[in-house]
Amino acid sequence: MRMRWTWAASFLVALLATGGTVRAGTSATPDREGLRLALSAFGSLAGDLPRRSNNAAGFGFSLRVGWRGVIGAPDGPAMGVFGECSRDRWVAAETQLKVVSGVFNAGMGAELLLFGDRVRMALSAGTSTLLFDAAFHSAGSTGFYVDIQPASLRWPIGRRAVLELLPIGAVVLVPGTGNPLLRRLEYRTAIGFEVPF
Amino acid sequence: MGIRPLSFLLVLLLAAPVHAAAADPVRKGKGPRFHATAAVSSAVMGAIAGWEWHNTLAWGGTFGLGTRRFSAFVSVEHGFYGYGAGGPHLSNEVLNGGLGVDVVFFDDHLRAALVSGPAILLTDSFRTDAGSVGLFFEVKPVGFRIPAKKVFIEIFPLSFSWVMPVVQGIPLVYLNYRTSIDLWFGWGR
Repeated sequence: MRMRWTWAASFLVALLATGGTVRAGTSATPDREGLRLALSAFGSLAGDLPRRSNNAAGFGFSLRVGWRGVIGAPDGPAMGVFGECSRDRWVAAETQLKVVSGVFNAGMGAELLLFGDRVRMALSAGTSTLLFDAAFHSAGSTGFYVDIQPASLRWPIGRRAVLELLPIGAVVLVPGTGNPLLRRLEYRTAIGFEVPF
Repeated sequence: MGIRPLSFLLVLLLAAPVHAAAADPVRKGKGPRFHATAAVSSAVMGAIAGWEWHNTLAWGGTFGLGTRRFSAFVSVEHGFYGYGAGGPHLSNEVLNGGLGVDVVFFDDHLRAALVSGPAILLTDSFRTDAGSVGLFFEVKPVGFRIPAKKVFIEIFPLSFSWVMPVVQGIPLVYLNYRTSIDLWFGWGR
């Protein structure tokens, strides 16, 4: 396990040291327009359950496919639209520590890239489907989610890929809309890669 | 998440922006420079979403010294914290002090900061009298800097703060994901 993390750390530090160098005024993404595919992993340590303590931990991965275009001048901000899906496993810690299936989210969103594409802001929303039987909601119950990503930091990796780090984003999950409402607020940290295709 | 991945994530958060800034020829990195900030913070994201647990409202300031890219600073903050369920009230007051470091990166557009120090309970709380001293820790990973004449208006969309004014017996802990806005003044070379 230790060896695995050492390798992972070395790999990412090497990426930052070699591919992360960007001169001022240049774009973080060599080809700024077109289709994009992104895969990221996320974790949430201290989320919120309404009227309870900060114990809504979770983790998962997401896939994003979208189109991006430049606004105005060639070096101006870029905007895009995308579709995404994510698998979010929940860590239940109230009676015993265990991982439950959580939810599957699918939705659409819009993004804005600033400062030479070094920063990405995004907002997305869609359906959130419960994948396990909860206390008052059965598996398959479908509600909605809203994902707010105020600032992801981006570094180019080589000529095509971009490493993306979201320090903190907020996701409101409401997979059970009946009474009682099943809702959850996750503050996520995510890391992933984006490539054009 | 264990210690190793967590520490790796922290190293990544701090090292990567530094690298990006260092690669930027526009940055001169000369100093020393003084700076001061005046800030207000609140857990508005949770409040908007309808979560009333751990409400917070805080105001404070910093005074620091450093280069154009890095600096160290002292921080003082007066925070009002909600006690828990039962409505949007703010019942406890805590004075958070501390020392911090920050880095300005991506062409002066962004700033990240780390602060830690004592948290002093200013009001009597459950089983604990005012005066109890604990710990305060805050990570502000990304703040947008908007230039406005001689100051910057800074917006930190989401920061994580951990306030623990009571550490003995039954601990009193406030975990907050806060949104902050501040005015940043700088002077010197």
